[in-house]
Amino acid sequence: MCSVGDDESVDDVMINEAGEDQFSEPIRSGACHKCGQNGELYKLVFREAECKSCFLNYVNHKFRATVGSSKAVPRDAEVLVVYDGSAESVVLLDMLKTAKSGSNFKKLHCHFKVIIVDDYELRNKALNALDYETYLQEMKDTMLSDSKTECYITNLRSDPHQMPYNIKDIDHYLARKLDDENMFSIMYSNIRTSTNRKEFIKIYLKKLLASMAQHLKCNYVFIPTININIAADFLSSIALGRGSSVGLDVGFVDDRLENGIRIMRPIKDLSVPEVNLYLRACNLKSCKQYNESSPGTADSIQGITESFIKNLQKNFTSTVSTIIRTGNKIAYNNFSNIHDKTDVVNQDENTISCEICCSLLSGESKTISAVEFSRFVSERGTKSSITDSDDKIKELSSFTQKRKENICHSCKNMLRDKDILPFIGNV
Amino acid sequence: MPVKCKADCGRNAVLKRPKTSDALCKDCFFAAFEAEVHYTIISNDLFKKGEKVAVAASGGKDSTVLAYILKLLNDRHDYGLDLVLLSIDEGITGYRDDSLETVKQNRDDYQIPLKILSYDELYGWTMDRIVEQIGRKNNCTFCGVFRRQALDRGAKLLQVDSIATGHNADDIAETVLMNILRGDTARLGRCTAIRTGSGEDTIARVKPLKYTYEKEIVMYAHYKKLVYFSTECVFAPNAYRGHARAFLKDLERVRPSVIMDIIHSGEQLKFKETVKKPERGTCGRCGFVSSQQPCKACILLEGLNRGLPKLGIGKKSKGDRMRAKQDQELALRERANLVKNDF
Ligand SMILES: [Zn+2]
Ligand SMILES: [Zn+2]
Ligand SMILES: [Zn+2]
Ligand SMILES: [Zn+2]
Repeated sequence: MCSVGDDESVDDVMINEAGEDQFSEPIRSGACHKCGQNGELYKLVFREAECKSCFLNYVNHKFRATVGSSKAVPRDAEVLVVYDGSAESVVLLDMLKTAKSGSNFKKLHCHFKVIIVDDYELRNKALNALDYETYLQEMKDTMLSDSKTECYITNLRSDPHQMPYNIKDIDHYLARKLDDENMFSIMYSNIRTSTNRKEFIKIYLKKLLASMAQHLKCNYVFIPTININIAADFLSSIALGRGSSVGLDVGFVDDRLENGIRIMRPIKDLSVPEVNLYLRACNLKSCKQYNESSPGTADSIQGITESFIKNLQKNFTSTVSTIIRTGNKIAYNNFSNIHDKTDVVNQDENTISCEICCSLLSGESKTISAVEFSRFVSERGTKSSITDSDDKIKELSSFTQKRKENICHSCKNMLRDKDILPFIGNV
Repeated sequence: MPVKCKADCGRNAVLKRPKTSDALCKDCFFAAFEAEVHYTIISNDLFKKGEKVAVAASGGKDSTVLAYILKLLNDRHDYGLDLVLLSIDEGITGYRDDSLETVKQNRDDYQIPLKILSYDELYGWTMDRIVEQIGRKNNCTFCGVFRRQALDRGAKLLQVDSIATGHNADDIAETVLMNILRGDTARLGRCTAIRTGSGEDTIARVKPLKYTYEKEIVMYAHYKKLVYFSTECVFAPNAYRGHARAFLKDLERVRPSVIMDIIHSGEQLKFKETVKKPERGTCGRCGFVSSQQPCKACILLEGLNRGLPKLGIGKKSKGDRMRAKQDQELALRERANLVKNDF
């Protein structure tokens, strides 16, 4: 039916359609509107054209505001920074170095190490040995060019108990035993749906990072996700039924992991154009062999969502920022308080987290019972219509939600794909 | 070899349920479909015995199936409801006039009384004339606001206890996505509710088809040979909502459970305390439910009558400026007239 106007949902919230601004050149020349300096100007949508240093001031400030605002990173924190060769990760690393040494900004007092999670094989269907070598070499060269930063490498397929390798010992890394990893690849490719593969890898990667952080004695992990990734993650989580934990997917801190390691998103407020202009301004390059995450494939919830957002952003310039704004208003539980709780007796339903994804389990839901009821009634067919009394129906609805294990609705959906089961021990 | 019905009834399956992917025979599908709606009504305590319920009837598939199944379940399970069809005539030639014929057919087929209220009699404007005034850009805003209030007016007139609307699971999932895309947390917070507005001076609205898939509604109507009107509104729907709808359809293709998952997600969302919640009250001008003063319907109507149709579209401050400007111009003209009359 025509849903316009339901619940007064009038489309009176102005949605900015892409104006001429959007398509104008991001680089031009002239006088900076802020400091008057003549020369190359950087033009962002919704901002006046500005010179290089005013632009850098602006983006670095954004970064510092994100990291500093929540006071979540204490002085002298040990931070593990994820580097994957992408433009975003190059920018994140550079901003961190600037913030640590910079004079323009209040110095950021933290110590950081870098981790490379080699996902080349899982990302590229056909492994081209030559390309792979170039990829590793490039990563190594980039890292070794700065002797002050310790850098480690691990493989996405490796056992979380396995220590990462120092990038200087890349030969040892290359000579490692591959039996388990090959097993992982086979099982991974056996997961039937692309949605579940992506969902699984996302959870697995997070846990792997948390283990690596533990090995390297870091309590914090910085990941290079920017606003468009977060908008896509947010919407995917909604589509996957993960509404109750979505606040942790969009915020700066994700503290749901059991070992207390916090995943953080320090450049969550940067946009694609900002990242690209930053690279230009600082004369940086992303790793050549890093192939852009395969353009949202149409066979998974996550892929469809990603391309939906990218397309919408092209036509409506405020798409991503509006989604993020919605996300920022969503409340979430502070896990730190829950983890610190030692008296197990007092644990009520709201403090039990999912064994797989570590999100808090949600309480009873009429919608979930309706889903279960559908399955139930499909199996009973004509036998279900007349005889069931009201009480029987109400009883059924509570019966269907009796939990056998501490696994959330979405992870249960994922586990319907039987091929994921062998992984569960790993996670 | 034909596939057997999953319910083990011995018959051959004739369809695959979009919701669960189970292969079922026609009778078992009917039974499952009806049992689910019954289950939704009972487990959510949607109605009480002896209540009078208006079914918002547009002639489309959702409201036709809703009217049919409420009548059927009311008889079968002895809900004791007094059902009445309530239709709104927006005055859209080639769309509503035809669909109203369908509603009249439903009235005769299901033996449920029908009340038709028109925009023309309520507001003095038909949608055809409104579109003439404002063009096709914001027409759905007018139509939506007026329809919402028209249903309330009709319900008051008929003295019903609640209005049942034909919103299905797809509609609700789509609205969750829309509200996220628009950043509208107030509506996001309540759009999944199966019952809304059951305050003192408001008439409750309920959605018995909240968990019913659109595809199954079409299937049910098809196999039951129900008569419904399937033409889309002649005025093109909002483009942004169209994107959300297409997105949902794409998602459903790879994972049918996505519709229920989105509703579930929407229900789980909690908002930070700092996020302001709109206060629900009644409009000082017309007395109907509204979260603003005066209500949107009254502002839009004022705009139409003043010849300032954009009055209710966009920010309030802009509307105030437009009003002030016109008042000033009118005053000037009046003075000019006075001068003229002096001669
Ligand atoms: Zn400048
Ligand atoms: Zn889970
Ligand atoms: Zn059957
Ligand atoms: Zn009013």
